[in-house]
Amino acid sequence: MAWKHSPVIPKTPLSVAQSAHQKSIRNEIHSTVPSQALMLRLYRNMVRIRAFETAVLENAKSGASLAIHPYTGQEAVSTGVCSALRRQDKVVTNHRPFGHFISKGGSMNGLMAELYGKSNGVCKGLGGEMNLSEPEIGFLMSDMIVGACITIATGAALKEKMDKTKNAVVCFFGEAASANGAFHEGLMMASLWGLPILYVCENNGYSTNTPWPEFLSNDIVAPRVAGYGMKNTVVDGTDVIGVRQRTEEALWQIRSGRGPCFIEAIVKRIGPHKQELVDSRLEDERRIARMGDPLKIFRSQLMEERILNDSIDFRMKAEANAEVEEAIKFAEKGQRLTSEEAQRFVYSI
Amino acid sequence: MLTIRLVEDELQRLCLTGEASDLHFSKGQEAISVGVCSELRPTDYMVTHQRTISPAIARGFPMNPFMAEILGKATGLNKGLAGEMHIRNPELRFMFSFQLVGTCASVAAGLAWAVKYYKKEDNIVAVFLGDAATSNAQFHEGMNLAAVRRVPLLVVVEDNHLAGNIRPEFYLPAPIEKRFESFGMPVSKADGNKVDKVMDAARTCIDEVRAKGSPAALILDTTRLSWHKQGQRDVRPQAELDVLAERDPLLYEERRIGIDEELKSTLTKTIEKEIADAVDYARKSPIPKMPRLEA
Repeated sequence: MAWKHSPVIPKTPLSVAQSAHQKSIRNEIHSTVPSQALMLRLYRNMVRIRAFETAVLENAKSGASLAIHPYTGQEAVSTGVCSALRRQDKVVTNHRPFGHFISKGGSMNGLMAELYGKSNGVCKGLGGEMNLSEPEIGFLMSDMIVGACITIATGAALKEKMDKTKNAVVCFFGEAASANGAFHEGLMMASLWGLPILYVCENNGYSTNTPWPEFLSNDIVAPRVAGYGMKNTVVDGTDVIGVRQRTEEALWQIRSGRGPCFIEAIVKRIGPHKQELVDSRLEDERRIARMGDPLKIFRSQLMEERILNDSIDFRMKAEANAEVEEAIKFAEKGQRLTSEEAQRFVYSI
Repeated sequence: MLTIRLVEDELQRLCLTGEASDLHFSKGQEAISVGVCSELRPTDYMVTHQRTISPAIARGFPMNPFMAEILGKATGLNKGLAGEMHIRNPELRFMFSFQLVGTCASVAAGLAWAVKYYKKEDNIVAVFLGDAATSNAQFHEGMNLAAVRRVPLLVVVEDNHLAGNIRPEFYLPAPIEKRFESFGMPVSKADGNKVDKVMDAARTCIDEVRAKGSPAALILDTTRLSWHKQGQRDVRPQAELDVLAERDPLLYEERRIGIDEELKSTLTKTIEKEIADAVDYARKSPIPKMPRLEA
């Protein structure tokens, strides 16, 4: 056998090392490292949520639309979680649903018209802020009763399991909801039946204006979840990439039939609990909350890595604002339902 | 314990003749009520679950009105209107008993709050509940409140590993103690079928609760030798019941103190006479008049 000299240059040690690295972590880590394009998409989504809310807060002052529960300061959570979801995955949320709705791919037009109470809104102007539903994009519902969304989402997950789909259900709620009995029963049933559900607790440390020591025995909820035999992680809720990676890992576990997961995202609420409601926190505390603004943090990170520059940033913001303005026009064009029309949607009295 | 067992046997006979309604018996779980109640002060408060016969007798209810109440007569403690599952006796600070599983936890937390912050007494509240009740939402809310407000509450879990006829794998995803630990409550465990062990554990817990004024949990492993309730057949195989019968708390206590047959038969006779008198008293009593409900 003649030995043949190969003219091909052997693989560079770097790529060998990289592929070995990839192989070795493939079985351990079930999250992906986001590319530049993905990071820009995440940033764009956060900018859109912020632009929408800023406009809605302004509109509500003039009385054109309803006063809302602002999501300012928590955008990274919904963006990170929903970016890891598929379209057919379901989302059930609480009384602060805009971020989740927009992140899940809901149309801003329909949402704005809903806030204006017009018939071209997602729920024909009947749901308002806190009772949104758009099943086509997998946004099952938002529920204003604190804690109620947990049991509802658990039921939705039971349906997915009985139908043997590979879909996951995501339930968003605040840490105050964990003092509610629905939390206990919902998580327990999900754990017993191994339901495909991801619970995301957005822990902002306040129930309206009540600080956590008044209603919780410990400042984070995750240790309590261990009592249900459920996998749980705590993540910084201002770190959108961290949230996304934890979500991907949790979804891998859920989709492979290993039962429910729990993610607790520690966030700071920048705005008041609800527009027009007094925020009784000290100015210092609000300043700290503003300093932890996830949008600012992510922007400066992207700038530093030269993924984002001023012109892209400016363009994104302009686009988002244009989208919001179009949504306002769309909402203003719509008509309110007459009472006869509205009664068609009443199922029982 | 002997009294409880004999009363329950008598009541079971009455159930079969139709004089008493379908009762929840605590056969096999007597040691818990006896052990814990003997360590409580007379001024401490009690809230219990639906198996009230054992804690009620352990707390020292007078036999005649108690029997009349269970048989639904007007001379009963609560005028025959409460029956077995809602019986209460505020004089003995046996405050409430609840048929709804888990309800007792939140009520007891509220009671303990009142005791500490409004009455400012050093009394504690002892709440008895089953292992299945810890899966209820009210338990969660009650424990959260108790932990946040630091109220003097002793939670006694009678862990009989059954909810009706259902096994724990269908209602408990993780061990019970983890639930208490997640609220930052100290947990102690003991064998609930050995009355001396129960007393030791209860004494430590009660002292701790009283001293610190904060809640604690006592998980007592026990066995249910009777059906969940009269009229709801047990689905456990006979072989399992035979094994469990060896853990009978009464048997253990008899062996431990080495009671002789003579004393036992004398005691039995005395108690049986008392029970027979109580049943007679109840039989002679009138049934309660229905209060007129006005809209």
